[in-house]
Amino acid sequence: MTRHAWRALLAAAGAGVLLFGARTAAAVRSFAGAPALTETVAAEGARGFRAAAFHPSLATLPAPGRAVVLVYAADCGACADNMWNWVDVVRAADPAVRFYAVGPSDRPAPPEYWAGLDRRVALAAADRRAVHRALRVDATPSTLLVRDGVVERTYVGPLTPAARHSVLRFVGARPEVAGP
Amino acid sequence: MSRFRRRARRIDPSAWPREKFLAVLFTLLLACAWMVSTAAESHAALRRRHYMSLATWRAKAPLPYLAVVGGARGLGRPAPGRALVLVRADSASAGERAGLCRLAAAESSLPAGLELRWVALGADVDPCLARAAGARLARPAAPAADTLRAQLAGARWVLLDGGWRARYSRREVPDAAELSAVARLLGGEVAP
Repeated sequence: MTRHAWRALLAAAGAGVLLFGARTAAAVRSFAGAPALTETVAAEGARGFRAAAFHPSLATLPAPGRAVVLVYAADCGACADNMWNWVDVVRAADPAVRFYAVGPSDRPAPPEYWAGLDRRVALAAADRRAVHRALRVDATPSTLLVRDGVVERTYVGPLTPAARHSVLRFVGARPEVAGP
Repeated sequence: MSRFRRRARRIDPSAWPREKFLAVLFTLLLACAWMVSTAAESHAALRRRHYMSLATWRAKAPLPYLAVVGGARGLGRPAPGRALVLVRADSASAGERAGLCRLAAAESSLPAGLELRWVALGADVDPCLARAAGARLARPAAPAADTLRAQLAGARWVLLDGGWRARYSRREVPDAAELSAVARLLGGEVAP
């Protein structure tokens, strides 16, 4: 090989070393920042749209003020895993916050599902397609934070610590009331 | 002399042009850098997956909502109109033991509609708690204890309804205020 060819190979190898060095640095940063994931990860859905009152029980959803919509299904395992988060949110919320629970009309929840909570949460059963059109969610559980009729945030799946903290802050809960 | 050794004796890097020497050196460095970066990325991805799983685990309750805790039937029904809270008294860390003792001491301040049941599924119960709970600390025999331990699935306490279904459960030791608030919300006929 000529000297020029060796120089070209040298330049390519040097660039490759720099590139892999940057890749290693990024990996080390990711490694160091991984523990913070438990406090920051939250699966978010659509936001910024106006929530429609597609069911009589949701008539007050577009009204001014704060509201939380809980989209669930009684036979959904993840909803059963997440219900403790919703119980904490409901018990710690400001009295002014309105709560709505929307479930599928083809698989209604048994009467004891919302026993106790139904004093605070307005229940609705609707067709899944109507729920998807109006609230833009197609997975359960989903937690929608609505302010003045506009969906501010949607959390999909069981509430991770970061999502739970955000929801509790939205409903005006004091941290010591809501617990860890 | 082997063919390999004869060939190796013919390679003399000190006689190479400078460019060739540096190019070969940097190519070797490139191979090392590639291996190191691949290993670092794999480790980082593994750690990220672990903490994502941890976040998902922390999002879930120890017992799914309305899961039947049949093993608690042996502890007897609560009085009519009272919500039953089952608290596990064993296998607690030092901080948890202090919290459990505080809860046992504050039991008299709980609402009338709430019935607290202590259960020890192992031998290591704090002496303070054993004294405070006294005869109210249930110690089921081995098969029943194993069943209940499996059903509680790491929960420290669970609120049960009339059908022995778990309405609320947590891994952390509760305080009296939290128990009262949860029972008030979910306990139906529980008096505030």
